[in-house]
Amino acid sequence: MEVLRGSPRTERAVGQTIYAYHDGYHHAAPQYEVLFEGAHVDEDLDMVPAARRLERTAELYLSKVPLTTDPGYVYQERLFLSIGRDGVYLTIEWTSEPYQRRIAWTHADPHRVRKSVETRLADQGGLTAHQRTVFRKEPARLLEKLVVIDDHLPMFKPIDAAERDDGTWLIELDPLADILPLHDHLEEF
Amino acid sequence: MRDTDYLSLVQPFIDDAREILRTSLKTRFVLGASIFQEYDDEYHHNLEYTVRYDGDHTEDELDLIPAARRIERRAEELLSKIPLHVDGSDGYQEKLILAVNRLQVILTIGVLGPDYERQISWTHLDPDNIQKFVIAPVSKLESLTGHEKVEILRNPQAFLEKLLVPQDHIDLLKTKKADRLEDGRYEIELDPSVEVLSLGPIYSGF
Repeated sequence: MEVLRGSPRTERAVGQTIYAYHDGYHHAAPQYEVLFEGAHVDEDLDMVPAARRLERTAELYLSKVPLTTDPGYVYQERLFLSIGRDGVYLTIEWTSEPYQRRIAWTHADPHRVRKSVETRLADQGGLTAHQRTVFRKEPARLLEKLVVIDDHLPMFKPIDAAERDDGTWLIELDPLADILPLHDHLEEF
Repeated sequence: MRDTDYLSLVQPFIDDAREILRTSLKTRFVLGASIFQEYDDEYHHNLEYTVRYDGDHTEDELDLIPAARRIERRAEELLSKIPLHVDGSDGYQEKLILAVNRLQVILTIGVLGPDYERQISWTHLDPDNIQKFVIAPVSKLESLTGHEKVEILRNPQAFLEKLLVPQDHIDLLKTKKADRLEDGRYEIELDPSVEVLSLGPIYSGF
């Protein structure tokens, strides 16, 4: 927020995990970095002390969010923490499939946290109109198709599901669901 | 390209480093370095360029200096202008350190593994008086007799012939003098006219 205040043309500060390379099977060497999005030039940010501070402390802070990065494991995640003038969203996504968990809030109402799961079904084309209707009405049924560790299902507490134009499903979860500490909860779908 | 042309390409790095040293009085050295992030037991991979600061300052102090962030974000762009042999497929890889303090600049290109370096240095007061060196360890030369060690100091060109291949380079590396350093390595000063940056790999084991 201090960077955004100091650089009016910067729209977002984005902290993210990047994997330095892929060995053909796993992603290796996770690192954390900060990107600044907007109409500014990089020189503008040299004048903002918080920009360098954010860059040098990115790993220290972003690595606090639990993430599966172990290259010895098939399931690997990456993280985005995007901060704009209106709000913040934290996204954890699977590196190899279109699946993500997201937590978002606005600066104006930081206690009103929204949590969601966003995904695309592998057999999307095979869904009947009836199934789509069921999923919208009973998002838990959709989750059951996605989430394989049964222990996690009760934690997700879906409250709404919507299919987007691009075919992805957005499942909104109860704000009380603790979705960050969950690992290994997704298999194939 | 001549050494002076390569050095002019990294001049913005040196300018930023000196601006940091002027602003942060507790910082003693600004160091640009190439670092390989990965090693597969045979070769180094994933080269990155970084900047480090030596001194009694705190990182928070450097946040207030625009040149600190500028030098960090431009480090790769500028330092990668210096030709460096990073391809490990021939078993030879190099690292780079560009060190700037209040008195001088020292550019070192070293071989990963053996403690062997080429070095170019000059002072801020006299930037045209460039000194060039080859620094090599004595550990690999344990078989040398005392007489031969004395000969090295008297005839550094002959010492070079023991170290360097390809043979074509020997005539290029005109030596001025040799000294034995406190750490046991030998420092061979080269004639400033020698273009040491564009030579490419000049070490093949000794």
